[in-house]
Amino acid sequence: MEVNIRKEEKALVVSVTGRMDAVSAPDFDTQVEEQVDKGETSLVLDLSGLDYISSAGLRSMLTLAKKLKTKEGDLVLCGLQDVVNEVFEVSGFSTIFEIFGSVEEAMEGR
Amino acid sequence: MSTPKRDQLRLPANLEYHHRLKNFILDYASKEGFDERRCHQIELASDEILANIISYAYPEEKGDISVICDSDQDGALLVQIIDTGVPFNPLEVGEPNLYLGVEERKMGGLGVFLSRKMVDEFRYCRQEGRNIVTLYKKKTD
Repeated sequence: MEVNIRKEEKALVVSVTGRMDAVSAPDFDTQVEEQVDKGETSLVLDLSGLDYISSAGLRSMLTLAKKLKTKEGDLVLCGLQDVVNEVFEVSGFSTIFEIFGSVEEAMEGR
Repeated sequence: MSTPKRDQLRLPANLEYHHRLKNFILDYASKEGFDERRCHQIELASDEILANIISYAYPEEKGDISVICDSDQDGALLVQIIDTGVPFNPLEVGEPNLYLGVEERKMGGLGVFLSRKMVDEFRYCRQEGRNIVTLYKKKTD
């Protein structure tokens, strides 16, 4: 798993590529927490390069979303591949997050 | 058609072996001719159970995880995931409430829930000090 972070005008775009599971999720947590602690509150998670997610990855996203809520920030997701989308559907996570097709769409109206 | 073969692997219940154990199951399913979507479902179902054992089965002493892959005469896959840790019946874990929002949504129970959703049958038994989870997945609908 690789996490790339770039600052855009309206939000911080966090791109996750590879596989997010019990082994790799802690690394994601560390990297995004660092950003939130620096004061970033508006995050777009670009998952177009994410090939696999388990409940450990879902938990990381929920933890992040909860944390941002307390800071009146927000987290939106975009670019889910079919296998990742299936996990979001089954777990009900597709209804708790705002999900867009692409980073561009996620940026519109922000 | 090749004759189905029973295959097994036993490794320490440690995060460093998580991928090897999971890939062992995935490779078996793939060799048995399961399609990509079903392979992913088998992978996720196994991943969640392995991750639970690694995190919770052996709070004090160290222990192992055994994985046994087999297929029945119809080509369906049977995966047994076994540990000798604290008794844990995943079937008794409550289902997460899928309709709650970010603030109310709880973290627990999600892994077992996903695992159960990914297979056709999910069984558990406690036998001679062992937790045995059996995942059953058909090759076609």
